[in-house]
Amino acid sequence: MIHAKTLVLAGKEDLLFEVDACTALARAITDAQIVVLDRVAHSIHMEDPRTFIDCIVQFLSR
Amino acid sequence: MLRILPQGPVHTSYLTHSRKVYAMPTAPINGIDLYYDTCGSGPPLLLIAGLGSDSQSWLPVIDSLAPRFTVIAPDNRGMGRTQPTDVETSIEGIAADCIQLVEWLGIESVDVAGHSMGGFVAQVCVVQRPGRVRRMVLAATGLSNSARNNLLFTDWAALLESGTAGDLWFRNLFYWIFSRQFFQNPAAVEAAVRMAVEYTILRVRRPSRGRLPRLRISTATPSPR
Repeated sequence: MIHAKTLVLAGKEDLLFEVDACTALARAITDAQIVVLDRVAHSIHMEDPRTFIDCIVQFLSR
Repeated sequence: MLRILPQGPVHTSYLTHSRKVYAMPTAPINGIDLYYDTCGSGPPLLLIAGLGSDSQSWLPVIDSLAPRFTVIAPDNRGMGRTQPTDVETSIEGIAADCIQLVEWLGIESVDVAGHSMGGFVAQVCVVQRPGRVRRMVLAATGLSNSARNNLLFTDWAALLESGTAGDLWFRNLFYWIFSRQFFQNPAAVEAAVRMAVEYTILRVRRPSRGRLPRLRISTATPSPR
């Protein structure tokens, strides 16, 4: 069981790890939240670096 | 908690990112010279790249993370500037390298962000060293790899080894990893293809093989339970 606080980021258009797969991952971790980014596919940090950074900074600043 | 973010602009700015060179250290661990990019200041944040990519994968975000975190981004074994390139690789092996790197750097606990296969690696790290990994960001990844992904990755490696033209190979890769919007701008697509091909030739002595380690991720990933 993973107990580390976790943020899962999913791309709504991701074909390799679809939102369902990312959601299953988040559900399997005790303390996880998931954010689904619209209009991006698998390469989340390349297609929307701003939102990727904002999510990480917000999550890790808590 | 499920949040759907509102639609924002999709950036293709990574196309224009210069290949900035930060400190270029290597760590002698687990029989390899593990290269890692490091920059910034603040609490340590380990970035683990996905299959077939290296620390350069983080170029679009590394500058913005640097003011807040000490970013550590290794080239996973077999990739990029980590030497030698002709080594056995696995999710567990890459995870062991990451753990060793953190310990070698004398870091007590670290936040870890992993993309795709890097997310599997991050999960192995936290299972192996729960005290060492503080928090995780898991991007575009899952509990296991699908059968389709395993077949796809095997085919990608086979196509590389059979000498498929680099531009054709990357364009076909891009169909799987970029959004519909990305392909609206054919010039940007071709620029990205060109850049990927040039980077591969620059970085890999044997451009016909070696960019994509053969990993069957489903068998290599432990259940997080």
